Amino acid sequence: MDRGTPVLLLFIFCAVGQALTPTTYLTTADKDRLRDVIIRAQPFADLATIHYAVLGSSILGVKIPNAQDVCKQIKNKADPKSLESLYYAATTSKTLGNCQLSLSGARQTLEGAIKDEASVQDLFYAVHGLKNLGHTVESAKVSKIMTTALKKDDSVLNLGYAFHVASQLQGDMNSFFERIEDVIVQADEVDGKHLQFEGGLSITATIMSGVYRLADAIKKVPTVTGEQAVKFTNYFLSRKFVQTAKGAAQLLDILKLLTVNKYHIPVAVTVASNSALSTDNPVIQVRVTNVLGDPLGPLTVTADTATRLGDSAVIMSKKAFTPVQGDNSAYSLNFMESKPLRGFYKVSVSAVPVKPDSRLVGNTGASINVKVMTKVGIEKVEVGTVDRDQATTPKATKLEQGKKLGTPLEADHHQKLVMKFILQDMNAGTTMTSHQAFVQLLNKQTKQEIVFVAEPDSSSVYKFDVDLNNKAKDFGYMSGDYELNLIVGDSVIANPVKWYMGDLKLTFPPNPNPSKPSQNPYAPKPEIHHVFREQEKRPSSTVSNTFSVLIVVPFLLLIILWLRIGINLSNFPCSLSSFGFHLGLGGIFGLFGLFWLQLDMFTTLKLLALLGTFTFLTGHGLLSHLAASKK
Amino acid sequence: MAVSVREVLTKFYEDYVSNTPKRLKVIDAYVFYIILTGIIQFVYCCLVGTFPFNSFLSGFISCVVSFVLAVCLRLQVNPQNKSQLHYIGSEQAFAEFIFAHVILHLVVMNFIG
Repeated sequence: MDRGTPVLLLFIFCAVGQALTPTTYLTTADKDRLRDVIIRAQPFADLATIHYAVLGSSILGVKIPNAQDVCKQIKNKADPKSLESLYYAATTSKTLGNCQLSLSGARQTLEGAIKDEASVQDLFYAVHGLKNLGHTVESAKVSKIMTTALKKDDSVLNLGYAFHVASQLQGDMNSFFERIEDVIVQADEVDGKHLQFEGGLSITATIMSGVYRLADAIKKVPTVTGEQAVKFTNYFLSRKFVQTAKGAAQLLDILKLLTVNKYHIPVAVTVASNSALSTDNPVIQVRVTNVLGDPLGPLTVTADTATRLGDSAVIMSKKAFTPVQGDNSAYSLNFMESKPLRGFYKVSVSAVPVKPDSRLVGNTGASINVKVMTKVGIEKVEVGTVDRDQATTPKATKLEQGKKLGTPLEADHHQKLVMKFILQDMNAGTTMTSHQAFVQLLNKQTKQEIVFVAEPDSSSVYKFDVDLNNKAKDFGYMSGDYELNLIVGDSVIANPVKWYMGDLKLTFPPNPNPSKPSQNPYAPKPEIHHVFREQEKRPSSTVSNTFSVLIVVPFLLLIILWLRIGINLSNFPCSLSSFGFHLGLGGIFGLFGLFWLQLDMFTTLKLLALLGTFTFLTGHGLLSHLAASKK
Repeated sequence: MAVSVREVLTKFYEDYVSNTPKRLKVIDAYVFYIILTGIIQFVYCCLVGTFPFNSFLSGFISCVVSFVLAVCLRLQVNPQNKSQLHYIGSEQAFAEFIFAHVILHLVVMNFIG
């Protein structure tokens, strides 16, 4: 709550302050931009665009290029049967001047439109068309028809058109004038600053210009309060960045009306000079104009109050601005005369005409923002080192602002670098704090900056210490020479400081995790080679060879045993089948050997089928022979 | 005890030498040879390791199967079993033995890698 209240107050203050008066006006740049918008509408697509372009440029006081050409276009495009077309053609040729229209049947069309059941918009076109072509209008008849039409449909836009029509008629128009109040209350308020009608700039401009035209025509004060007028003005000025010729023309039309009507002339109070004040630039200049930026005649401009944001201290009241020589809309005030403390101020300005003029609205309580800057001095500066364990008293060197340490300060990772200073407001002669107070250490070799924030304590003394062991990582463990800089800045400090205080020689502990050299992420990665599975460990060749020999030994033993038993080969039949069988059998096992070494299964099976058949036949022959011989 | 064992063994050996037909002795020698080969392979596997495993398996299994086939052959050609296996001639048994070996070694060669 303690923090919220001033902010809330400030917010309300801002809102109220801004609602009371326009904070801007149509500057020269704005006018140039609107003129460009209008000129860029060429080549014109239709009569309506021509109408608005011609209207806008006439208000701006700019000659439309190729006026005769435009006149020809109007003549070509005008359609004597169309009410809207005739209205545009008639008003445009009137505005252009020097462009006589001779449209046969135009008058009949326009007069024919003034009939029962005509809509308000048709009446608007017809009445304006007739008037601009130089014909008379039957006021009583139109008034009667319009009253009926409004009973059917009294939307705000229709009422707006009705005001325009009524302003052109003779006789008692009070019945329409009384509707102004109904219309104004239907406007929507936005942010407490703007008033507008649903539908935007076009509708709002049409209605308000109707209101003021009607009020001017029957010479009665419209039922629009000054504050409402200012809010409508604020809305129109907020739309000064329109991008269409129609919008630009309507905006210019209503703004022009808001400077020349007899009832409400909004006053715009704007800052015309640099609002950041200091002893070198003590004068604040304001510009008091109407919404088109024109001077309002001699005025008494007063700074009612000047309030500091933040603590709401009022430092000034009823101080008069003096007119600036050679510029009849500018007024100036030496704000620094009252020796304001640094900070932001809201100045409430009133502009009262020398000759009382009740038309001016929004001319009191206009608020402008002013910033008062000061010069800062850095004092009581001490730089030194202290052991981390605080065993020794700090070794500190006193420094004056702008000076440099005579010898480089040496510090290693058993020590802390310490610094103490205060900031002095040179204007007020008191200590102050700033938003930014940085201690920058710059490695002389790598130009790497390490920035620490110096924090003030409760008595605004800035104390800064950096433990070279704990903070070594921030330094990247880069021992070496460093520059020590103190940077002080604030939005209210006119002379921000970057003070090169001297050199340091810092020693850090070695980096416990040396960083890997950074890799270029776009460099090609090392090629990945295919790795075969690692071979299993093999026994030494002696062992394998021994066993290879060993495996043969039983075979020798078999031969020996067989010899001992005494194999009887005498029974070996010397027949073809006997040889064939043994050959076939040998062949099969030879084939298996080949299969092991080089052949695949299919070849092996094919050959095996051949050999097997042969061996089977011969073997069958041999064995049956043996069996037969045994019996 | 040792003496009696030796006596038993001596008696057994003498009986075997005198009573076993020569044909069976040949087969027995063959069986003995297979057993030795298998044992040597097994010792190698225990000492050095099974790598290459499929070669070891095929070698060892071929020993085991050869042993089984040889014992079958021995059973079939043993005259003492004639009464039970009278329908199988020794030539037929031998032919089957050969055929089984052909199949066995086809598989072994395929598996040996």
